[in-house]
Amino acid sequence: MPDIFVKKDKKEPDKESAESEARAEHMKPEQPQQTQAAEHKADDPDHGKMGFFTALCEYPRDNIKFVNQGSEEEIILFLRQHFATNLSWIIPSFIAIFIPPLIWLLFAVLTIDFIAVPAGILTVIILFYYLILIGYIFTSFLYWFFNIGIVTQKRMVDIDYSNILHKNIASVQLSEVVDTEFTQKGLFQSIFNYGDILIQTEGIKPNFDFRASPKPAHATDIIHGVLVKNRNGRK
Amino acid sequence: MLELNNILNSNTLNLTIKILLAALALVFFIFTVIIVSRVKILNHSVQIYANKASSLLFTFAILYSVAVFFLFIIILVIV
Repeated sequence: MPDIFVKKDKKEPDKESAESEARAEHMKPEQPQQTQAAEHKADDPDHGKMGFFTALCEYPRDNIKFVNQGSEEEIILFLRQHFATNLSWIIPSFIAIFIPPLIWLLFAVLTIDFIAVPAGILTVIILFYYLILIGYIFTSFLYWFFNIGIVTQKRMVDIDYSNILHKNIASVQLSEVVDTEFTQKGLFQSIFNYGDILIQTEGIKPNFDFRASPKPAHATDIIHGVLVKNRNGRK
Repeated sequence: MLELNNILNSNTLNLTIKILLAALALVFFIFTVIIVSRVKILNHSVQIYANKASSLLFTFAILYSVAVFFLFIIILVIV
């Protein structure tokens, strides 16, 4: 009968050496954020590339800066509302473009006399209409464009621009963040895969939220990773 | 229809409409000036895409403001 216990001994990895390897791995200093970002960039040339309509970007390249940003503060996550949220103003605006020609067509079909209104005034009214429409489209776009959430290795910044006369920039240190969670509700959010990310902060500080964020599960994962790294760094 | 034509073509009504439109255009112009200043402030808060997108938006805001100002002039001069 062959002695199976004797032969196997040589091939099995040494328990002690495995343990020491694991210990050495554990003792390794954590890679700094900068290196990780560089790795991300090296892996994929398109990584961190930002377009005009980008709503979520991990490690955006050096083309984004925000007010009071520290010299060594690197942006890890850039968030905006999902582009699908813009449909609420794009569709009505698109319809509104065709309203004056439709009215004109209707008047022509019903043979209602248009000459009653002086031509000059009519032109001005139409110009007015389209300028107001452009204004509405522009301000709606600005609202989407400048509502930004930023996560750096030190803090989270929420830039809110709710209307033309209201702007709010809030930031919270990562050390003050307790937990992160996200909510996805409704058909629209499920189809386009976006949702609200809620960031709970310590004590009396108001909670943070990144509304209608694209890929909320992925974004929450990233934020959670940054938080864990920040906590480990402090220990 | 003839009566309506007479009313609409009367000088008093034309002048009233003209003043009303001019006032509206002026208010609208002030609104665009607020937009321009707001875009400038926001561009300062967040510089996106190395300022290319921000400057594009700012240029558009200025052009828009100029267009509204021209509308105001058109109402005053031409109508």
